[in-house]
Amino acid sequence: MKRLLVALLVALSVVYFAKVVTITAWTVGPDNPSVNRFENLKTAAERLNKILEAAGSDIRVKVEGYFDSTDWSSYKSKVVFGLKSKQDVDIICSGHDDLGSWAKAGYLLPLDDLVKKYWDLGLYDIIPSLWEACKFKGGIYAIPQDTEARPFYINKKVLKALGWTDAEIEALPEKVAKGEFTLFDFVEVAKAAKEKGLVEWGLYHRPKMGIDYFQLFTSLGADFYDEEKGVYVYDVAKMEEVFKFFYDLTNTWEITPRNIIGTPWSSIHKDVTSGKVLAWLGGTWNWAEWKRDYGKTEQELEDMFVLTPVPKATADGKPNTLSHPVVYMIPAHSKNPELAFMLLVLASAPDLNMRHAVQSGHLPIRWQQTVFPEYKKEFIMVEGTKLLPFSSFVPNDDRFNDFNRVIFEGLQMVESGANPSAVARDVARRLKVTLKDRIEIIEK
Amino acid sequence: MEGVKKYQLTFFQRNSQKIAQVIIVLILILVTSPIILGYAWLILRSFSEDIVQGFIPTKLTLKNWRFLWQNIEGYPSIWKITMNTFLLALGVMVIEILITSMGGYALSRYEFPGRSSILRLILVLHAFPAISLMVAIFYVLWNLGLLNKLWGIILVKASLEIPWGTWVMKGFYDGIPWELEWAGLVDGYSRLQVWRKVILPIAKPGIAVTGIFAFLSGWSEFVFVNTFIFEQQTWTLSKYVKGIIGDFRFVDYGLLTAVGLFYVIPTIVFFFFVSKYMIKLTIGGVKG
Amino acid sequence: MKKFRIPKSWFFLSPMFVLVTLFFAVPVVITVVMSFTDMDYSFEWNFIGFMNFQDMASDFLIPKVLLNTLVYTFATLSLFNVGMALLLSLLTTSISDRLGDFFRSLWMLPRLTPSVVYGLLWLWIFDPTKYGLVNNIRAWFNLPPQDWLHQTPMLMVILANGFIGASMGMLIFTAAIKAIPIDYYRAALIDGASWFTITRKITLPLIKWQILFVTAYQTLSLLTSFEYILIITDGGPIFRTEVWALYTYHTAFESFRYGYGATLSVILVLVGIAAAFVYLKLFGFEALMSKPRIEVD
Repeated sequence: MKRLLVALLVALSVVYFAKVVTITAWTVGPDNPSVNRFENLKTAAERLNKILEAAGSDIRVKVEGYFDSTDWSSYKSKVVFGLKSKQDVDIICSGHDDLGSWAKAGYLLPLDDLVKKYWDLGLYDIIPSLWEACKFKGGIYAIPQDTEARPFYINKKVLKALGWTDAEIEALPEKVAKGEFTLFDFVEVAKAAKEKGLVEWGLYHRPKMGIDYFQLFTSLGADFYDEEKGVYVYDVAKMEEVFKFFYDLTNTWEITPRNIIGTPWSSIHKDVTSGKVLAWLGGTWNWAEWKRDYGKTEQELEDMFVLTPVPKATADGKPNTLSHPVVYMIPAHSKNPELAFMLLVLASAPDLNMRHAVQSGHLPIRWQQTVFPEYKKEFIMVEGTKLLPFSSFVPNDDRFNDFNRVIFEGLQMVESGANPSAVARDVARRLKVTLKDRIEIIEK
Repeated sequence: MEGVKKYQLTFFQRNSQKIAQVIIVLILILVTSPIILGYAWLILRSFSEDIVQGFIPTKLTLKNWRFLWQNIEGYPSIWKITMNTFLLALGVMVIEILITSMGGYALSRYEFPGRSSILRLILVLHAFPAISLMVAIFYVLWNLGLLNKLWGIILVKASLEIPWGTWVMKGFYDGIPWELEWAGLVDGYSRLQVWRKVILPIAKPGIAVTGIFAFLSGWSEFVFVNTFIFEQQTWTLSKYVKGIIGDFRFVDYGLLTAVGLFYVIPTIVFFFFVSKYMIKLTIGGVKG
Repeated sequence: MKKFRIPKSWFFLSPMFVLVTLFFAVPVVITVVMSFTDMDYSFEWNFIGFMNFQDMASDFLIPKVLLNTLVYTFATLSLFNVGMALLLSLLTTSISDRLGDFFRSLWMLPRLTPSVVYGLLWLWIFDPTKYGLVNNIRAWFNLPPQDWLHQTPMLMVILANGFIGASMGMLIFTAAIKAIPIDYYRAALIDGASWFTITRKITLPLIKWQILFVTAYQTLSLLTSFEYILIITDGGPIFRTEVWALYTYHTAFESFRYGYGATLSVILVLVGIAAAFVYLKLFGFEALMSKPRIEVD
């Protein structure tokens, strides 16, 4: 009797639930090759459906939504409007730095319980530092989708010409990682290389606004965010040191061109790949660009560069790299949050994530991916992944763009020769005006 | 012009008119060259494998047009999207014609309190930066339940075209002699009947011009579609093209130009259809 | 005539009224209210008085943005929307009608082309590699390719907008020039006047009013339009082409400061309204609003 009842219940529930559950996902590139951020979810649904079929369930999962390749800002606008008006959506993909603002506005579902519940389904394998980028005020609001690193590319050939042995060069990443080779050591090498006419310049950094130069802040021991209070921190004395460093780069040591900010990307890459520069503070994705657009072969590049973390400069600084992971989030109003989470877990399968990483030039999010043959044959992936333990992230804070904009203006000023301490104070004033109570200015 | 012929002296003076004409045409070709070259490239590039010296196709191909018969990864079928775009453009056009042919008539023919204020207001509306009002428009659409619907975009776009369209229509009505209307009224038509049966047929060129501008503004609409449409099934061509263009760098120019050209075709067709009216466009009632 | 009393003016105006209320009046009211809040991505109506207006005074980007707006508006207006438009209408009316129509049609194309595709054309013309049109031409003279987007961004933005903006003036001026009685020209030709003299002494004075109108109307258009800048340079590099309308857009949709963005919009609307009223007065728009010639109800 009891058995019959159970069977009946099961049958009933099958009839009752015999339906297609639609999971809507909004994903973004904006680069076209990142289309697997969406496609992987569809594949995950296929896999889930196989399991459901095997279990005799009539439920089927269908993924709808879109992959947006327009641009970041319009995508984010649309997401915010969509979240506010509670459109049908279960999965949202974006940069980790959006999670702070969206979680704060109450748009996102806290995932701590789900992460705990499904930890053994593969989440344990995700590179631990990436979880840090998924947190807001201690809670997990996202799961990692991909990442990259921003290595310090040093031209080996120049080092050799300076008399470095192969062994010394090979040991360099290790020495940088341990903090034995500092940024100031590098400056000396750069000055020597330039004096001897081996290179035209010692160090290039990105010519446009971005996040790369915050790595040098970390090297110099300058903190700019208080995670606990959720406010930016600006220590005038410390920042004067930072600005002084950038001032010295272009004015005192003259190892970086004064007008580097505003130089076209193409000239930058041409100089770096043709060996006119000793070191390049770039990203792992540059590797693919150099091969595709600057006529370099894999072998040429491997012979040319040694990759290290960004060296520490001062005692309170540390060797580091900056990552900007893209993450998946689940809206608080999702009707099927657990199913959506399940899909995310399945979409993070090593093979699927690897497909994305290879196609779009990103780094893996899981250790298991590092045994794949397609991983092993990609030099940049192997070397890039080694940097991940040194990863830091920009804060998950809504006002980061505003903060960054003011800092960037300051960097531009000192590099073109403005007095660092005046700039440090000027930037402090501008930050206070822009961010008000969201910034703490520490006066000297 | 016959007057000049009396003064035939040197070669230059004899042919001064012709020489002047040639020079004028040359200047026109020069200043128009970016347009000519731009569109020439758009057409040539879309049918070639690669292009050298700017314009010379290395090999003709239809490969760039593959999006017409196969879906591009991550994008829905182009035909569904074209249909959406067409509906959007048509919707904007119909509503715009309705509004401006009625409104323009009232403003041209009726005297009523507040008439000149309305005319002023319409001119001032032109000073409103529509896209900067987007958050407010979000609230309006949300409350009307028109988010994520083509209808919402149609209404917003039609509204934005009101200032321009109303003035154009009023201008055309102003140019219609009132005797015609009077004759209609004498024949026993009501005012509404006069408008429908007598005036509207004469105002066709105005309707054509307003209609095409409205159609094209709907056809090209990007920002509102991109922000207030949340489903891929409701995307329009602008979104599709912008998506493929991406950040414009390191892209497949062949595919881009083909998609771009596909997007422009209706524009050009429409344009030849009504350009004879458009060239006659005046801002109604202008002194001169 | 007495059997129908319903079709009054308001019947004809009502559809327009509904849409103008919904999509102009209401949004403007909402925006004005928003400008007194610090609304952000969480859409909270948190009123902060005149704080946003005070912030504007200390916003260090504003002087730059103002300057850009002035340069952009003035240059585009004078070089293209009025200058090029005049040149085109004068030249195309000096040749045969068929050729003239042909060139005028060509100049209508940019206005009719969807912005996304039009932007693509300019990006190709100024492509930083050797594949772009300008760099291709440079290559014939053995000059290296230049990154125009970075070196002369403002020029690019002005050109792209100018080629669109010229068409409206062109049409209006052409219509006006064609309306000038042919006898004026005959008389001048008999007197032996050159093309330049005729243009300067006869044509230009007679279309003065149209020139003023286009100048005024297009000033407003340029002040509020930014779509092509958004597509081509996005205000960059480093704010070199950031104009007021675009800054408003960026503030709202890139920094998600809807409240502050609304404040910037309100300023733009106020400037626009002020300008509109000034030109309504200056150019005697009353003539446009002449009383209707028929009045039966």
